[in-house]
Order: sequence, then C-alpha cells, then structure tokens
Amino acid sequence: MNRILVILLVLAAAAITVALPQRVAPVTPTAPDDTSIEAQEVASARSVARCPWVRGDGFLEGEVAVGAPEAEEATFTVAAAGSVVGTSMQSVAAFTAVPFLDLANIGTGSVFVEVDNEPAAVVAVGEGEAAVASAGCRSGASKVWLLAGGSTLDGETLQLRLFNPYPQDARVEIRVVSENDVEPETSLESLSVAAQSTATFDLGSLLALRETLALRISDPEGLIVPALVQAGEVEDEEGNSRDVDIAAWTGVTAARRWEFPFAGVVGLDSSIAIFNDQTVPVSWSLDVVGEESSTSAAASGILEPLTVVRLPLAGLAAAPSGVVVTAEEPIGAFLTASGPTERAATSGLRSAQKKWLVPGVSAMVGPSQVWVMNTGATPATVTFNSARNGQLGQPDKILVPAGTIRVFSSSDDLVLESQEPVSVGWIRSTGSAAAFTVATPVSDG
Amino acid sequence: MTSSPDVAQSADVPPSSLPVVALVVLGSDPGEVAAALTAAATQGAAAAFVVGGGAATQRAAEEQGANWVSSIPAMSAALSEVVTHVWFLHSDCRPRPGALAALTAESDRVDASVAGSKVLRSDDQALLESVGGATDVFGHPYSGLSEGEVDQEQYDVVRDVAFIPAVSVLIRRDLFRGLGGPDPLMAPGAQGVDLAQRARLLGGRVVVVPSSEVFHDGSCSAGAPPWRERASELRAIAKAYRPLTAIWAIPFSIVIGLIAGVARLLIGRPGSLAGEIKAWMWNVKNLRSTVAGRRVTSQSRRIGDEELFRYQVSGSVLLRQVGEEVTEWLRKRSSPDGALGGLLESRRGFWHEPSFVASVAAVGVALVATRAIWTDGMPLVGFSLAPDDNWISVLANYAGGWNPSGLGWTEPLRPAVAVVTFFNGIGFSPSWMTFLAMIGGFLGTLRLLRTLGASERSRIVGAFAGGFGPALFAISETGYWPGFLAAGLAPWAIDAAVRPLAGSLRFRIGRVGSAVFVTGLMTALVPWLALLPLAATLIYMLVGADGRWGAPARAAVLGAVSLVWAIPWLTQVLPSRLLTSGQALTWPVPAWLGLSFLALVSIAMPLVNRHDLGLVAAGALMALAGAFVSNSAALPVGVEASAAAMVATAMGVALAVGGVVASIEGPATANRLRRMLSLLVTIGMVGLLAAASVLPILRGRAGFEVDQFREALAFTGPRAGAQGPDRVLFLGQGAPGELRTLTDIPYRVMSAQVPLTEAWLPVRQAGDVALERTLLALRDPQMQRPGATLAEFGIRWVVVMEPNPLEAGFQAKLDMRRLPLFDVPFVVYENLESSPRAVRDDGVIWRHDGFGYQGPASAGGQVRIAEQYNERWQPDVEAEDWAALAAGDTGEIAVAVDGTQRALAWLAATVAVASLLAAIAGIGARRR
Repeated sequence: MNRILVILLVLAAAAITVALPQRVAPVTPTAPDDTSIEAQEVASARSVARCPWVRGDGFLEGEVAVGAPEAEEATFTVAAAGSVVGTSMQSVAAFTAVPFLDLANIGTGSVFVEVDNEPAAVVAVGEGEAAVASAGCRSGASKVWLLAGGSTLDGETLQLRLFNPYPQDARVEIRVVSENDVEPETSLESLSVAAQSTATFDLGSLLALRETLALRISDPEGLIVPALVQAGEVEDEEGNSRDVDIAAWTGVTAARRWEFPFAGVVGLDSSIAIFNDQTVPVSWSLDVVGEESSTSAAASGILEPLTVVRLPLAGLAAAPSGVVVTAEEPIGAFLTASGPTERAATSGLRSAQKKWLVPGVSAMVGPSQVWVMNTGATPATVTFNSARNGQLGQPDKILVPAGTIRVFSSSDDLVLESQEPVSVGWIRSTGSAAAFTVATPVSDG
Repeated sequence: MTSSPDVAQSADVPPSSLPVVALVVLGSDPGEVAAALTAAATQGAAAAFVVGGGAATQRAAEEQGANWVSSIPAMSAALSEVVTHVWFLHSDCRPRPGALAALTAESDRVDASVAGSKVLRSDDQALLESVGGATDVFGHPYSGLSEGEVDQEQYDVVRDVAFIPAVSVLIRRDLFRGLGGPDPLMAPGAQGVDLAQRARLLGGRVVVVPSSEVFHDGSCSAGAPPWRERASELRAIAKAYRPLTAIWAIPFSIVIGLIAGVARLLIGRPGSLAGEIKAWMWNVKNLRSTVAGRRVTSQSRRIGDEELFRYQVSGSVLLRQVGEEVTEWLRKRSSPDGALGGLLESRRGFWHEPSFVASVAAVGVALVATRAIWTDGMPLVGFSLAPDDNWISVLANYAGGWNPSGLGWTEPLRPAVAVVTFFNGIGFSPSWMTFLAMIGGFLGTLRLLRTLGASERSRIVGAFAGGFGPALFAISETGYWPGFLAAGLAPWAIDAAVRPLAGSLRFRIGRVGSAVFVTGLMTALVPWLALLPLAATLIYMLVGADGRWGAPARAAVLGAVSLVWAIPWLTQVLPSRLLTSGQALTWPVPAWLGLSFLALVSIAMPLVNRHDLGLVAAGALMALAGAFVSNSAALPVGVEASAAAMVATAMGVALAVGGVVASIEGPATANRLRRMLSLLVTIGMVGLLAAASVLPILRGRAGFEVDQFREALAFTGPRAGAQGPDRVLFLGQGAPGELRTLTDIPYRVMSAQVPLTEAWLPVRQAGDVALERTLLALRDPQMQRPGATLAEFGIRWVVVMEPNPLEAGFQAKLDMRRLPLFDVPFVVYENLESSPRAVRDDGVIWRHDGFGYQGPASAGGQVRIAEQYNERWQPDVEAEDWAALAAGDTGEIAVAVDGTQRALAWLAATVAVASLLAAIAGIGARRR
C-alpha cells in the first residue's frame, strides 16, 4: 500500500472512531423504577405498627389491641434501653389484645407489632380505676411528625415520647411552638434517640405554664414515632394531690383535611388545636357536623407560619357533634378534651372511608360509644360486625344521614362497612375518665 | 616582540600578506606568565599581551616586553588594526618551536577561522592530553583518547572538530571580533567547547592542527573542581543552542547529571552528586551573563544547530563514562574468573548502550510508579482483588470443581484466576506482578520495535509509552488488573509472531516454547488477546513496508495454541458470553489527549520514511481499533472484549509513538520546515506522553484507583466467626468485580474478603433470580425484617456503594443495623439475624472453607447450604428451592470433580509446562 493510501486509511479510521457515539458509564438510578421482574412473595410481615406508648402497671392495665380479620399471627416486640426486652407471637383471630404486662414488666413502654397479613389496625389502650387512655399506633414511617394540644399549665404534666424501634440511633430535631410563638428550647433542637429505646422529655419542666404546645419533630437520621402523654392531678378534699385521667396521642404527618367524628362530647370541654408548621400563612376552616345537620365554616381563620391555635368547641359544636378541619396547606389538627378529672386526646382522620377496623373496644371494662360521621351528601348505610371469641358476629346496620353523626354503643371490637365514606371513632368514658380513639380505615387499593 | 601595542610602527612587522599574530597569554601566576612569554618569544608573534592577574603579573609581563591588560575586551580594544590573528595561550603552556607557524599555515591552508594545537603533557612529553574531538549534544567533550595514550602521530591530521583544547587557540581577527575570545567564567575544558561552538555558529571552521604542539602543565585546571566543568558545559549549550534544542537539551543534561551523580554516589563518590547541584546553582547565579552571551551569539549566528550536531556523538558521553566507572567498580569487586567478571568483560560495550541505560531508568520509573503498592499492597478495587493464598485449592477447582462466585455454580473459574493465583502461590505477590508487568511492557516494546527496525531513539521512547504510557494507565484506571498484566506480555507475544523462526534446532525450540508460553499466559489473562498477534501482524502487513505472510501465519498458530491455556473455561462458556458478558470497561479518553495524539500522528506520517510510516500507521490503526471496540456505544461488548481492546490500544500507542519519534531522523537534506515540524512532533509526542503519564506515575499505584475495600471491610474478618467468611451484598457502581444489574442498579454477592477468585460471575441461575425478586420485595416499607430474608442467601453484610432505590430496603429495619463507619466511601448495613451459609437442620453451623463446607458429622442430618443447587454437590444432595440440601453424614460437603474439565485443565497445564521447558532449553542456543 502506498504512502498516500496508508495516510488516508489512518485518517479515515481516526475520523470514524472520533465521530461514532462513545459509550458512557452507566448511571445508577436514584428513583424507584417499575420492573417487569415480579417481586418475591416473601414470607414476612405484611402490616407493621409502631406504638410509642403503652402502659401496664397498677394505674393502668394497658393492652395492645390488634384488628386484622385476614391475619393469622402477630408478633409483639418491646424494645427499651437499647435492646429487646420482650417479644411474643400471638394468634390473631380477627381481633386480639395482648396485655402489656405479658410482654414486659416495665411500666410504660413502646411496642412494635408485626402482623402477617393486611389489613391490620393496632391501637394501645388501657383502663384503670382512675384513668382510661388510648393512643394510636403508626404503620407508616415519616421524616416529619406533628404533635399539638398538650398543656403545661398548673396541675398538668406533659411528656413527650420518642420511640426508636430500630437497631441504630436516630437523630431528631424538634421545634416547639406555643401560644407565645416559637419557643427557643435549645435542648430539643437536636438530640439523639438511642437504638431500640424510647426517649422521654418532661415538657412541663422545660416549658412550664404553656396553655397549648405544638411540636414539629423531624428525624433526619433513623425513624422514630412520637407521642404526647398528658396527665393531670387534682387536690382532694384533704388537700392531697392525686393522679387523675391521662391522655395519650400519637404524632401525625400534616394533611389538608382532618375529621373528628366526636368533637363535641357531653361533659367534656373539647378543643381543637391547629398547628401550622409551614413557612407560609395557611387559611383554615372548621365545619361542625351534628346529629341533625352540619354547619360549614363555623369557624375559620388564617394561621401564621409556625403558629398553633386552640379552638374551644363550646359554643361552636354543641354536643354531640363532630368537626372537620380543612386548610389550603397541610397542617396538623388534634382534639383534646378535659373535664374535672377527665383527660382525652386524639389526632384526627385524614379522610372518610368505606371500611373501618375498630380494635380495642373489647379491651375496655365497660361499653364504649362508637361515633360515625357522614360528611358526604348522600346518606350512608353502615353495616358493622362485632368480633366475639374470634368470630365476627351477625351484622347490624345503622343509617347515617348526610351531614350528620350517629352514635351507638358497643363492647366488642368491630368491622364497619359503609356504602358511602364515613369517619369512625369511639369514646370510652367512665364518668371520671375518658379516652378518644379513632378507628383505622381500610383503603380500597 | 615589541613592547608597544602599535605593531605597525615596528621594524619587525611582517609584510601585509603574511599573518600578523598577537599573542595573548592567559594566566595570573607571574612565574608562569614569564615562562610562557619566554617560550613563546621565538614563535614570531608580532605583539604580546597578558590578560589576568594583578600587579605582580603586570610586572612580569612588562619585564618580558608584553602589554598587560585586565580583560579580553581591553586587549581587543588595544589590538592594532594590522593584527590578523590572535593566539590565545594558557600561561601553563610551552609551545614547541614552530607551533605558531604551524597553526597559521594550516589554518590559512584549510581556511579555518579557529585552529587549536595538539596538546602534550609537560610532565611526559610523549603522552597526549588533547587533540580536540567531538562532544555529545549536552556539551560534554569526547576526545577518543585513552588514559595515558602515547603520541605516535596517530592523530596527526588536520581535521574539523567539535572542540579544540583552549590552552592554545589561534583565532582569525575577524571572527575574534564576534567571538570575543574564551569565556573567562568557564572552566578550561568547557571553554574550548564553547569557543568552538560559537565559532561554528558564526560560520567559522574549527580545526585541530596536530603539527602545532604545546606542552601543558595542567595547573590551569588544577584549581577548577570537576563541577566547574559540568557547570560550564551547561552554560555552553545554553549560550549556543536555539530555543527548540535548548528546551530539551538542558533538562536532559540536568537529568543525566543527576543519574551520573547518583550512580557515582552508589560506587562511593558522593562528591559527584553534590557537584551536579553546585553546577546548577552556579548557572543560576550566572544566568544573567549566560543570557547576555546568548544574545550576542544569536545576533551574529549564521547557521543552525544542525551544524553543531554534525560533530557530535550520539547518546551521552557522561553516562558512558559513568558506565565505565561502574563496570570498573564491579570488576574490582568480582573475581576475573567469576561469572560477573566474565559478563562484565564480554558485554563491556553493552553497559554503554542507550537501551541499557534506558532500561535501568525504566526500572527506576517502575519503582516510583509502584511505590505505594509495595508499601500498602495492591489496591482492592475493580478487578484488582486479592488472590487466594490456597492456590492448590483454587487450581483444583479451576480443574472441574466449583465456582464460588455469587451464589456459586459449576461454570469454571476464569483462567486469569488460575494463572494469577498460581504465580502468587509460588512467590510472585500482586505487587511483584504489577511491577514486572510494567517492566515487561517496557522491555517487550523495546524488543518489538527493534524487531520492526526502529531506530534506537524510537525504540526507547516507544518502550516508555509501552511500559508507562497513558493507554496502559487507562487500563489500570478501570481496575482491570488482568488486563494490565496482559499488557506487559502483549509486546512479547507480537514480537514472537513477527520474528522469523530461523536458527539451530535448539534455538527454534526455545523460541517456539517462549512464544507459546508468553502468548498463552497473555491469553489466559485476557482470552480475547489470542487474536492480538494476528491482528497486529495483519495490520502491519497491510500498511507496513513488509508484505510477507509469515508473521500473520505464525501469529494465527500462536493464537490458536494459546487458547489451550484457557480451554477449561472456553469449553464451558457460550460464545455470546465470551463477547458480551460483564459490563464493558469504560475509558473516557480526554479530548485533549486523544486529539493531540491524532494530530501529532497525522503530522508525522508525511514526514517519516516509508518504513517508519508503517510503524506509525500500524500503531495508530491498532490504537484506533482498540478504542473503537472498547468505547463505541454501537458495539455491545463485555468486559473481556473491552479489556483486550484496551490492551490493543496501549500497544498501538506505543508503536505509533515510536514511529512518530523516528520523524526526527529524517534525511539530512530535508528542508528547514520539515526539520522544524519533525522536531515539533517529536517534542510534542514526548511531551504528551509525559504530561499524560506523570500523575499516574507519581501517585505510585501504577494508575490504579485508591484502595476501596481492604481497610474499609477489614472489620468483617474478625467478626466472621466459626462459619468462615461472610457474604456481602454490594449495591451500586464501584462494587468489586463483575456486576449484575437489577432495574439498572448494579449489584452482586461476594465473600467479604473480596477475593479475586470471585471477581467474575457465572451465568445467572435460579438463586440469582430468587435474590433479585427478594431485593425488589424488600422495598416494601412494610417489610421490617429484611435480614431474615437475606439470611437465606447467607448474606451478612450489605454494602451500598452509592445512593440507589434498593437501599430503602435496609434503612430503618428491625434486623439491619447501619454501621457507624468513618472515612469509608460507602454505607454498610449489618444483618442482625444469624446468616451462616451452611446450617444443619438442628441449627449447627457449618464452616465455609472456600469451595466447600465442613462441620460436625451427624447421621441423618441435612445441611442447607446457601449455594446454587447442582447435582454434583455431595453427598446426597437435594434441592430446596434454589439452594442445596446435602447430607451431613461425613462432615464434608463438596462438589464432585468433573472429569472432563480436569482432563482439559491437565492438558492446559501440560502445554504450559512444556512450553516453559522448551523456552528454558533454548537459553544459550545460538542462531546458525
């Protein structure tokens, strides 16, 4: 091959090599991707719940109640002080409740529940001579939780609980807001929650004489579930202090709508605490749903950033009634109620659903009141089955007209189904103590 | 002689047609000056001057009737217009009668502007001191005289020389005006070099006139230490050379001085190295005057540097001298009858050869380039992984056993594993192998280029590209260690194919044996390289000056035979897997590097002769073909093919670089533009090579990335427990070895020691599918105990190399704990569930011993092993889903040997051993 041809050949090869597309290093996707590979049917828990508060001692006989009509087994794990201190596997016949003392003799603790099927509802309840309490258990994980409604006024104690069920430390950042605006409580700004433990903080000693406290809890590292426990004490005739009822409620993630099927309750001073953790003002509105009718925008307003407001429902929501809080941006809303000795609190429901699980009722000593609220425009026929001895009994029905609430009594755990979306909750009241519990929805998808 | 400077008025002034010479005695010792003047009185100089010294010297000069001046410019100003020549004479010289007459007569006869005398020693007038001579390109003089050589008129011919002894120099007046005489700052030896060089540049002719004899006392240089000569040599080339020459000559001179200094230090002469440093400092100190002198030369020069090159010897005279000194030193310490003594005598000239010196330098560069590897070990990254110390077990399993990679399979281990593990087992650590690969690449390329007829300069530069070039470091950057090792063998394999097989029978047997051994070794490391010799020879045949088919034919045979080394693996692998398995190595060629290389090659191709054009073109085509295969998105090649392509690129670059450098050796009649371009492309290519390679060399890891796993995963060893090494699940790019992908996320399973044995993954099996489905299921947030699921696969650790969606399956889980590791480039989760690879049905854990399992024997018990089920597991294996259940009766569970595979492995071993023995047998055999 002559010189010219050789040179041309090399130049041509160079041009081709340079011009053709080059292979690039593959980039690992950072977002989840649908795949044609079917995920393995793994023999594992299908439902989990994290219960940041359960109490089992002489004051309160706490139980962890599970409602899972399709499940066979549930595992209860109590973690405290860095290790698992109690674990138990129980058969689940639709509904079951395990006394906390059977799991661990540590007084107050936190429980992680794994149920081998879905749907499953888990709630921590407890009843004693002077107190009745319940706190929801969370199945979902969140990096930001909201809690509000607690008070550190005279005679009130308020405890914050941060439950870390996992085998590594979590780091938590808390911002506290009260009626006085943002509270510069530096001891809560950044703290660590040890692995498999529950960190507790006496908010009364940190932030005394606050009527309404709200907390924004973020966990940049790890996952925790928070709860507030409100306890009160009164002086008896001899002037001695004695503990009265306690209320416990679990943190939520912000939402634009909150439904409380039982807001106005006879004998209790109820209020709604609304908390805006956003950086922008949020306008909100409160509807009242009574036995006969409902009132839209019974109250409304604009909530400034990082502000909490407590709305007494007396005068707004004549008992019995439920309320619905809506906002243009996600907020947190909590119902608290108190009486001379009663303390009760709960977070709300994000939406109405057609099917509900109501565990925990059977764990109470006496009957509880089940409240059903229909905020829709169509009457709802609600069918409910009582669970007794592991069996679902004959169904019963009630009709809930549109825009009203209905209340009925039950001593059994329930499965409710409705033709129209409704909200469900139940109240246990002993005359000197009360507890609010919202039911667990079963989503269609 | 008249004492008056006005020579024209003297009655002794010769007729105007005869030369009128002014004698200039240089010196400061009054006695010497007087003696010199007395000796020169009868030479016929028209005037005499003395330059240098103080009042005593001046008195001595005036007593002899000479004029004393303080400097040469002053003397020049005092010269009469009738003076035609100036004769510089050192004060410690005594000219023989008629010396001046001979100088003037011969210089006039040959029309020389500068003429020097033959210098004899005054203490033994029969001995020669200097007759002028050549220099090397660095200004170091080379007289050609032996120590104590007797003058037998063997050099008595008037000839042009590169330098003349400065002790007696006749300069024509017209040239003297431009030259300004010897540089007073320089040492005597270099003075002569400088004077001659400047004279040539001004268009003058410099000759030595042996019939003009002077006797030299030597005291003028007695007070000048050797470093002054070195310093003066540097100054001389700085003043004389054009920028394009000076830009490389000066740095090279410094480097050569450094090498010489170190070598002399090693043989007990520490002053030499210190002297080199002093020489540099002296030149820095006198830089101003050097620049001024350079300016003067530049303004009046009439010719280029090539005129100086005509009178220069190749290579470095200084290095040759040092080589002699080292040889002498070694000889004194060895017995004359011993092997070393014999070798030194028989290969005396060998030590001076530039190739040898370059090889020594290459060893030094290789040591620098691998220094971190010697201290810290080979970095564990990519496919640069630790060979198993139990090499016998590895070879046994290569020969029909189990492949433990991933979840295991019967697909044979890669031949590279067998080869590397074997050599590691017999004492060649990974550090040694890497070091030897670099040296092998250098020496192999040197040899190959010599076979292809490249000049020495081309060979040396090409060899540096082959052993330390950017294309080689690109391979190590990808972490493909077997490819790096194979690159060190590639030039030997190609050379074996190119060299004709002619010679005695024993010689040919040795050649064939070594060819088969080297090519086989290369093929075992990267199987696709079996095609490299054939491809290289075909390309060279296409574009080279030699169109014979012999080399491609030999290459084809070699390639075919070399495949025997890899036959146990090749027979079990589908051809499609050979081409596409594994993720292709990605080599993002920097645009500046690639385009510069192509530009230089393009410019060089018209400049080189036809033979060297073949080198350049073949090298460029190989490099381009390799780059195309390894980098093109259009070709779905896997890791093996892309590694072979990168080795081809490295070889091609080396050949092309060698060919480009040859452009500087174009014909002497080449025009100025051509010469300029040749110089530019040569300097450009050398500079490009240096710029692209300097950082990988300086980093000391042979171009490999920083170790990722040795220290970071060291904690897994002590925590392994009785069950043996735990399994690790790697997620994300950067995991060691070959990777699978799951929804575009790379992942793999490997033992925690990240052994080389498990670098390559076997074909996907049921267990891999199960693992993938499990990993997807773990993304369900409701899955709170992934550890229990991973335990079924024997996975204890999860290493997340980079953020990816699968990591969510391990975050905030009840039985996975993220380890608080610091300074580690990835995240590690520990599975808190017990996760042994093998556990008996009663819960007793069995130990994993690399390829099988051992534990307490129990009758009737079954052991579940987290390995792919295969019927060759023994004893009494059953399938449990994808895993294997074996009987625990004997206390051992292992895979039965595949007899065919073992036989093939023995065949490969036999061929390897036979070729090695043949190569050894050929040592010492001569060509007929």
